[in-house]
Amino acid sequence: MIPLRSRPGYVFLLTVLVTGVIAATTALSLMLLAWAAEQNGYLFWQSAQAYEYAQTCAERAVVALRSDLSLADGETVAFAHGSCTVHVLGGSGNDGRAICVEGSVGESLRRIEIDIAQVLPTTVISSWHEVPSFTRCP
Amino acid sequence: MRHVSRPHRSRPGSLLLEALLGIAVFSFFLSAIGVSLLSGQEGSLNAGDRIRGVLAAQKALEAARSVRNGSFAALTTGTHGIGLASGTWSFQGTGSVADGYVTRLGVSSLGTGWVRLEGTATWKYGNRRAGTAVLLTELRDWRGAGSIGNWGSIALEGSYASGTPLFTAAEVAGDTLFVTAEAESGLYAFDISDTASPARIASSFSLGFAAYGLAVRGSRLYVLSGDASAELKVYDITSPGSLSASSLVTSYDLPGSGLGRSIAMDGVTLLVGASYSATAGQYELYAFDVTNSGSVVYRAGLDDLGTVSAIAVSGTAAYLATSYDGGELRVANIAGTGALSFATGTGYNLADRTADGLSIAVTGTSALIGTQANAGIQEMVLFDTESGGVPVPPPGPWYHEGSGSLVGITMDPTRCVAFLAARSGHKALQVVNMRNKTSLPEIASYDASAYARGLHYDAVRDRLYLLTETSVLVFRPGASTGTCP
Repeated sequence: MIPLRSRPGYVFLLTVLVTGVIAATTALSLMLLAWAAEQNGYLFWQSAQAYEYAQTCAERAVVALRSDLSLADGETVAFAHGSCTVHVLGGSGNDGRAICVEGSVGESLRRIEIDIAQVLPTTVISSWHEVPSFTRCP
Repeated sequence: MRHVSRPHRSRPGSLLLEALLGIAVFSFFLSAIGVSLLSGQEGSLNAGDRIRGVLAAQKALEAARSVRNGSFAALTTGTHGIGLASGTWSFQGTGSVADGYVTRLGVSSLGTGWVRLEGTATWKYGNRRAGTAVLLTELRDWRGAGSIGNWGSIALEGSYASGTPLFTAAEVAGDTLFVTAEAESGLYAFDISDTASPARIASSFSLGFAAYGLAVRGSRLYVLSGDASAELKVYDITSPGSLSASSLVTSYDLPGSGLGRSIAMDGVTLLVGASYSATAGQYELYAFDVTNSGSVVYRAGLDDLGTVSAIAVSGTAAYLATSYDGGELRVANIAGTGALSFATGTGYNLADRTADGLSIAVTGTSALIGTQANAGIQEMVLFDTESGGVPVPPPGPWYHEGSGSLVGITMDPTRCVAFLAARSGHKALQVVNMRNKTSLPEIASYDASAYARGLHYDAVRDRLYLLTETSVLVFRPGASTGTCP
């Protein structure tokens, strides 16, 4: 066996190779992290837009309920980047109604649940908040 | 084996070539690493920029909601900047700049009381870090206070009269008024887009049985009929003008024969009240699950000691007007999906009478019950239900003299006035001031040509429909005074 010292440059070559692999791996990791960060930025926008679509459906549902207290059936509205869905409305009549809406953009889903103490003559909202899943609508 | 090596000197220039090649490869490698690092860093920065941009756009939309909460009219169309003035969000200029982000709010009209909002944030850091984030939403004008007219001054606005249908109950769905009757067609539908002239639609339809009550949920109409083998009938009312026998979705045969008397809807729970029966399995109150609009699923029954003539729901309690002398007002707990039970205390006994409870209404913390007429009693009784469940006076109850047996009773959403329908021509409709509890004075009345049999208040239109033996009468209030009459 021939010792490395008898083959000049091999230590340097190996050092360069190992360092290069480490550097390349680091660079690749950074690139993947950056790609993931960009995806997060895009998903953040999708999520925010899904929330705004849910708000849009909520506004529409409140107005619809004010013009027809027997309203109970749901509907889906399509938009440029996604859609929103009004789920079957809870409660009956003028008091104690519930509205459940969902906005979606891509894979992002946001849900809002609204409790209405009184619809007419002045709409009194008990709560209007985002929920992970619906509990007030069937 | 003999190893032969050639000295470098025997290959002139190869060392230089190798060195140059090595330097080139190494430089290319270094450049690739460098570019990767820089682009990676740039990607992370861009992502951060975008998230901040989305947050800025969100802020613009939230500011618009805040402006709307103050006044919908303040949402003027155009492009605005946003800013805080005295702690309140307002539109300022055509764009607002903060931390390198220019935020704009675009407002465009989609109709009366309906705007589209476009929150936009733009940024530019150097030549390569620039971008735009846009969020879209809509706002509607629903926060304005609706007004209730002056029901101390009533006027007959429109009517429908034909034959003697013996109308019993009414419900509104969209622009359609559905009315049940004990005779003739059994179920009537009217277009009330113009309440001054209610026009009968689907006039060829006939239920074929007497009908005692109805309830609406979305596109389904639940009719309680006298059909001995299918008392509960469910119709599709997606197109009310096309109501026909083929609109029947399903039906349900209550125990006994034609015992159903009253009906009410609470979310996906349909409640049916029935005539008293001592037979086992024939309950006086039934609960059905109507989550599936194509079916009626029995949930539970509750035995009572009298006929349940009327049902009103408030929260998890069903208030029943019954014929039981020991408790004309009964309260059932309808919470959950299981069995029905009476609320603590069971009910309230109007000890001054043996007259049956005929009608009931609950709004907010007030419950009204109407009873049969009898000498020496006042037919309308007002309870305070603030503690929930069975009323436990004092305070109350408070009484008002009806002009006959009170077959229908309701109140406006603000509980300013109560509307009474009496089995009488004289003062068939009475309007009572509920705010003056000590005397509950009558503030308006109407004499009909036939006995009243029921009524329905339409909160959307602020109209009252009085049902008599022969007609449907539409009443409107005087101009709103802004306060209770």
